[in-house]
Amino acid sequence: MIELDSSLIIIDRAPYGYEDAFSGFYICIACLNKEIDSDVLLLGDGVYSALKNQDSENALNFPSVEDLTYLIFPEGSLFVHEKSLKERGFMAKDLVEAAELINEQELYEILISKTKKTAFLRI
Amino acid sequence: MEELEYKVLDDGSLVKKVIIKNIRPCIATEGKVRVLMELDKPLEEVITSLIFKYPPGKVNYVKKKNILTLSIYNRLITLYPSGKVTMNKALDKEDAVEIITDVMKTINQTYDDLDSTHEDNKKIEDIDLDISGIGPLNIYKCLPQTNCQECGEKTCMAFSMKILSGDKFLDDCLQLQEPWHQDQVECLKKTVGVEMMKIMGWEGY
Amino acid sequence: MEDNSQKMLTIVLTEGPYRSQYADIAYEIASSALYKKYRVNIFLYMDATHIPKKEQNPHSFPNVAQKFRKLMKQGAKIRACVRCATARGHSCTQKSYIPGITITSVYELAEWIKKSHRVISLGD
Repeated sequence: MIELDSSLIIIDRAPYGYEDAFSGFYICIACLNKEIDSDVLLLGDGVYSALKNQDSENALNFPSVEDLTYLIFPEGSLFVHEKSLKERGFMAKDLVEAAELINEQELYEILISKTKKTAFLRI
Repeated sequence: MEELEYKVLDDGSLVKKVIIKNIRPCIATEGKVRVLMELDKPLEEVITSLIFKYPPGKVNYVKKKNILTLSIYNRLITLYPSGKVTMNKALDKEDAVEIITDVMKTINQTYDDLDSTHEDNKKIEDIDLDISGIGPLNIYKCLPQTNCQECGEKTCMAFSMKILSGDKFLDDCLQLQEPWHQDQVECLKKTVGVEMMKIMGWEGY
Repeated sequence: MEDNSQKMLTIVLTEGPYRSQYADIAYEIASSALYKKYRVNIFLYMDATHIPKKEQNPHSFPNVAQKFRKLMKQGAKIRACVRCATARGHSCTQKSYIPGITITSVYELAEWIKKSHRVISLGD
């Protein structure tokens, strides 16, 4: 019996410095493959995960988190908190193709649109 | 994982090669794999024209980002302007490459058409109207509306919905082929255009 | 008491034992829930895959593996992510865990999410 039918994965740590971003995207992909709606919300330092032209494979020998951002669209959305992005000196043009920049109002709308049947996971 | 390059269309006019960049999950449970690929050229120019190569029900276009998702071959294939392509529900990398090669052929055809019919290029503002304007009622209006069931559907309305989703073809309607239904055929030409009629499976008389 | 046996709580842990006390917090929450007859699942992700290592011998702190052993006796299901566990040296063949812990994929978490009434994550 299905109780929860969607999940929102919240990531607020930068990729490569911590495993959290990578693991968070993994949970989102697993949920999507199991037909649970799942989105990723990047806040704070998490917004670094959505920057384009990451080259971790060559530079660090670590798998690319940018590639994972491609693998959740279109079934899942990638929300990037605009204020967090601007605070860190970046703009919309620095982001991967599938990222959606959201302001405070839009963040509020997204959160209240999530029903009781949503699992919120901060990883 | 290592990137794998496949040269699939030697004489492709736009795209010839596909690189597999990432497959998830690498833990191969569930038999479903998500694949991230990159074609050897950007797709910015062709994406807006590619929309018209598939039945409307199979197409989802995000105008703001120029990203096109096709719901074909029982999976979702998303094309990005950069040339990156993602596919969900692939069986394995060989399966992904096989399917994407087909899509690449359509991409190349579209690119060729772009070159030869430059003046006919639809403006992006027109595209919204075309896609969202075609609903089952628009198609239904142009059908014989006899509910004869020869197409395999119970009603003409059901048939028009299947036409939009790409699950049935205009040629399945035998009545449309009859000379006394020429008005209906003209109606279809005006509503969706000859090109879209072909995509919807109209081969003519 | 209410019949809570149809309701399921899933806890996701992401931190290892002793440096932070999230495992202990999870133990308290899970214990209370089990006492009230809820069904409880615990998914160990990233560094939390160190929690069920056997032969832990903390000098001053309560033994976290023992706590989790108790939870399993009370009916909790505890699973560890295979990718995270094997990265950290806890493979299925090594048998480095206390008995009763299953090493499984992150799909198990997705399945649990579907069936749970509440999902909480505990970590830094």
